[in-house]
Amino acid sequence: VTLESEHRALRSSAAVTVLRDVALVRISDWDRADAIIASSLAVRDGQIRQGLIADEAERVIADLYVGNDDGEVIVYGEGLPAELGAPEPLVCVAINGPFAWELLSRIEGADAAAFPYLSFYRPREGSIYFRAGKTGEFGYDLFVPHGEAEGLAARALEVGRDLEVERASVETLQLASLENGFFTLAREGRRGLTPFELQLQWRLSSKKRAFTMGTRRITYFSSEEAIRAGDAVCFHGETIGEVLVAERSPILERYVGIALLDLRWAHSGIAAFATERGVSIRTESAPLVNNLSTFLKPGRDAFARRDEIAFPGWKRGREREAS
Amino acid sequence: VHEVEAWIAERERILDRLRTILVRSLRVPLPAHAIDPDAMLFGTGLALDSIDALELVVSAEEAFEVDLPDEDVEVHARTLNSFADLIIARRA
Repeated sequence: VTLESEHRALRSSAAVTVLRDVALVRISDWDRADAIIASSLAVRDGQIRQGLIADEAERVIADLYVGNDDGEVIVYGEGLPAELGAPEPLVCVAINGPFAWELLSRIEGADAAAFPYLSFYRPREGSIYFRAGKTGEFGYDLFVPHGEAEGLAARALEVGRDLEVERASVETLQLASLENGFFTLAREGRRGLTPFELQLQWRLSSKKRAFTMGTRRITYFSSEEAIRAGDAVCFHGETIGEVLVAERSPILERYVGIALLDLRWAHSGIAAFATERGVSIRTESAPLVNNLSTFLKPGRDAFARRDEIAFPGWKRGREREAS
Repeated sequence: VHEVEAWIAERERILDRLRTILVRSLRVPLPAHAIDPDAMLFGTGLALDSIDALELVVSAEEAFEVDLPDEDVEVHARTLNSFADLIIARRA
């Protein structure tokens, strides 16, 4: 199994990934959680929203979902600081893909996958299932006791064999999140950037701490040629930024990435920039791909009848290339 | 350089107008400058719903004097940036 076949499963069927760096914490003291998390905690019982934690220097240090669990704050994600509390003894098994709902319904029953986006429920004592995800496809984060995670992953692969489900690495999920313009803490999140620079201001509560605007902002790009992270981005002989991330997208058949550009130039739709090695890049709007998930309807469609879905393909239109 | 600067100025004008629509008409609870251009419009991100989508399209059609077909909106109205791409393409 290669990253390419894992990625194809994620984009056309479903992929199963055991996420050992994702922790879940339960907090009964709302004021304490409110003081640590930079995002609003105003969320209804049984629902979640995306949030973040930033340090004193405004650097994003945690990427999380925050929810209301019958009066308690429930937080899960990466980089959770110890001051939030001890993590629950659970492991996250993530199922992502346009037919992830069909796979979950085979595991838990026909109605199990029908709960709304950004909500959660308990299938049984000791486990908690969230509908979320950062791939642009249907996504479920299934938290189960440590000893059950591998068994759940194996069962998903077994019952999903005819759906062409594959086990996928964390790197495959990260590539999918890059193609869709979702933030990844373990990648661009390790560069000491602020919510403004990372385009994560929408996760901040305007009623809490004031964050500063910056002079740089991340911008997505694509390129026909190989690009290296760390390369300078240039325009007319001047350095205007730096490549933070670059990966080859098997479905787009070109390189996609994130550059941190001076604010003046941090716009999509520009094909005039190049790296210091002379490789042309075209700045892009997120998401960089069409997602099959947005073209199908659970219940009406099915993996067995996937050829009947009117899907224009993963590549997005070229109308954005204006220069 | 001037061509790119002119392109950026026009794009910023469209993004600013869309941000104003989001804050004033759709009551997105963020200051306009805090609406990131690549934040998702629906579901997560700005968390707009289907009624907001209708309002956004009608307001944008009026503001930019363009026709935005439903099938194009479904594909392109995913972030502020991708929606701006659609408006630019339809005006061309």
